[in-house]
Amino acid sequence: MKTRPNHDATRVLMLGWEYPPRFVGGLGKASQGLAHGLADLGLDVVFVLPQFDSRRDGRRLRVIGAHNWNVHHHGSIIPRQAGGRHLLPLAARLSPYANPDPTTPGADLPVGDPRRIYGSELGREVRRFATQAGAIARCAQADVVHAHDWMTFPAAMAIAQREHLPWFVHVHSTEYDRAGSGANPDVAAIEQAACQQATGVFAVSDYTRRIIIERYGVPPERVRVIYNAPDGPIRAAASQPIDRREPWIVFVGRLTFQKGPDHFLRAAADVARWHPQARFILCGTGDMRGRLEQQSHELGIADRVEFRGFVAPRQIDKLLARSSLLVMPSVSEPFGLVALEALRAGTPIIVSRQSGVREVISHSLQADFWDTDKLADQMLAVLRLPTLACQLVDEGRSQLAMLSWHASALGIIEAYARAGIRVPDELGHIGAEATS
Amino acid sequence: MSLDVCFYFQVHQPWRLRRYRHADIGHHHDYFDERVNADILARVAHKCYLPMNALLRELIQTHWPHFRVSFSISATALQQMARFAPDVLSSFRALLATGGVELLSETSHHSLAALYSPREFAAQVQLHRQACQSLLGSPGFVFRNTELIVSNAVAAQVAALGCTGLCMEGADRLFDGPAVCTPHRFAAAPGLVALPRHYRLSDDIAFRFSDRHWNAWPLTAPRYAQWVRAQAEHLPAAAHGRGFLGLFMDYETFGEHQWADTGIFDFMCALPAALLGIDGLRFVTPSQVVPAVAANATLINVPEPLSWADLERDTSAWDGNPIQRDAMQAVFAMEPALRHHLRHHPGSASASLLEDWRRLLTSDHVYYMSTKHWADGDVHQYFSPFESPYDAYINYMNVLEDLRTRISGARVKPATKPGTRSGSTTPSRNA
Repeated sequence: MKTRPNHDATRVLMLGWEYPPRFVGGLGKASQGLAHGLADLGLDVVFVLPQFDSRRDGRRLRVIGAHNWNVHHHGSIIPRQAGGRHLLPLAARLSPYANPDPTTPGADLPVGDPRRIYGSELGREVRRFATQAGAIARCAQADVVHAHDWMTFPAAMAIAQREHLPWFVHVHSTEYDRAGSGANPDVAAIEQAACQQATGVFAVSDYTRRIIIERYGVPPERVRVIYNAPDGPIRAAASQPIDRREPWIVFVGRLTFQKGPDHFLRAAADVARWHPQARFILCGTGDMRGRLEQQSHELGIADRVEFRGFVAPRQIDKLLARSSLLVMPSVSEPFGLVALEALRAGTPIIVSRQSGVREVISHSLQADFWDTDKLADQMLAVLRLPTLACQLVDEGRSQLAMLSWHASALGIIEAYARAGIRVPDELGHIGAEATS
Repeated sequence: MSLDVCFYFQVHQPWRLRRYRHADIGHHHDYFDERVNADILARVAHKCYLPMNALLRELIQTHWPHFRVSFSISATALQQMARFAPDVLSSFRALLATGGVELLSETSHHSLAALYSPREFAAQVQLHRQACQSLLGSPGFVFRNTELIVSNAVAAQVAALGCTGLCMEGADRLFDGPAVCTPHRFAAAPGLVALPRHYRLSDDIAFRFSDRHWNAWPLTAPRYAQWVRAQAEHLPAAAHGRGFLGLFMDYETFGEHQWADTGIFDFMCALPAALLGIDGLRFVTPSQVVPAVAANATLINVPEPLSWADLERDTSAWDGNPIQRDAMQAVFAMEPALRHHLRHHPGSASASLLEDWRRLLTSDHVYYMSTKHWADGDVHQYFSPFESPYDAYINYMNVLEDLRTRISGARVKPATKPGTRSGSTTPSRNA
């Protein structure tokens, strides 16, 4: 197998942490969508993850798990013998979006000391990934490095410096989204350094772009918004007519501070007072689960609330297609892919005003995450007023149809071209525009 | 060649709703945001009504008797002036006292009743006349419908109420080129004169005046006078040598939409003299024009409603999407039950019920629900007190639900209290 099937193709070395079917949130889906978008436009994409059963994902996209690839130095990447694999399952505590455990080794070191984060288990994983991805990079002959979220930024930075390559960081979420005022200063420092030093920064929304500019002091002209897109085609007709749906109101997301499940329950308690049939279904796991169950008891709605735990994506689609409403009351949501999934299923959405998806789906109900009165009123209105629900779905789906990974990839290629990276001939006009 | 120039200014303020929660239904009947309405009126009074009234009064007196203007003032605006800013009413009275001002007739509540309920439409026209008479003075018999919405059906209703003229949009699809510079008659009501708005020259003042990208910026009175002169020199044959130039615009153009620092007041101050320098030009009010219109003037046919709003100049700003149509359908559907209730419950409580319902008929509420160009955040949102058209709709429907409970006398209780599991059907479905 040749490293480079097409020497004319621009090769993108993508570094990621999640990839379907191994993912816990929107990062994996978005990474895949973007990689496909670039590959479909003729770029050669080598996507490297810490752990993955390596495979081709289309003609121009190769996904590589760094752990089970043996790197030779004569220009090709060869998989180890099956017997030589040592797949380490990603422990839950290595989830990059969980709050770091303050008792991890290095917690007493000064902020910014790389040993702090690297002393933790997640930190070791990040460091190991940097080493392994670096080895792959040496023979990948990439033209550009494109890193998805902070766990891969140290690797991208190291590779770019050693190989003298332009590098881009793609911010799917920042530490301030994930942890609010409790942001881990080490993670924030990694994000800041990468955003400041990278050739360019991609943000999944203008909401996130502003955080990068304001919190990390990155010049505005270096941060470009690349919106996420729905997976796959949008069916012409919604699966189940709105007026035949169950009065179910669904929350999908990790049960963490960032996603606002507590606000969801507070609004639910208000809705339950007025709508005796309404049920509230939470899909997802997370550190707040116990507290939320307690909260639903205190609010007197325990019999109306279901905690479904982890639900497989296909099952989520099925659930959404039967439900009346998806609510995404995130405290800080860089994008919010689940809102697009709900619209694909023909389900109206309420999204927080602290989210990126509201920029592309203006035909949605929106409320500040803390305004549970307004959230409750919007929930009741959707249950009570079918005209509203239908219009939200029809108009929202029209806006959904305007989003595509293809369009997002074009935006990325334009940024590449502006940075002087050669792009496929058929996209040469993008480069020409960029340099004119 | 001579030209009759007719200025008509629209003065209107809606009773804006407060944030009205689902939990308020059945419990709170105060729908309108006193503070917001008072604040907005105070601001507009300060920036527009008071200074512009003073300027017009001075201009009318300076050029007497050659400069005159007309106004249409909604009763909701008059109510708010009486309530929050009596000095504005006094200022309008002083302006009317010059003798150079005519008041037009309209609906009391700036409503879309002409499209939905002829009965309510007639009632509101009468109500507006009474409000004007008690606060300002009698309006004439030239009519201006909400947002210049005109159709054959509207014209027929207006004629049936004894009006002699009707202002309308001089839309290209009805008025071919210079035809906009002459009054017409309605095919559906030949006794009624159609006074077309010259939208280009009107919008040069109302919309484009402060646009720095406009090639005519900055617009001066002499330059505008040249454009008006050009109209006078190219009158249609049907005008028989006497043209009509309808300059119809929102009064809030002056100082509110176009701020004072754009020079709009200086422009208006210089305009009468600049226009009066044109041979054969005179300023008129609608009632002066109507009697002179020939009985065999060109007839126009308006099968579909026309308005002065947006580029479409139709009614889509108020009924362009499903939630708007649902809201209008819902509020007008309450009319029979409301009238039935009023017959059986005479008294002040019923009167306030009726007044609340009428305030909900004001077109602004449904305008806030427009999702035309919602993706681009357009002019509709500039005026809206709501964060989104959908919030406007939800709030409005909550208020309607409460009004329905007041009419039906239904009692509203929560289905369940927090912490208990007793339940009953939802109040909203009961009512």
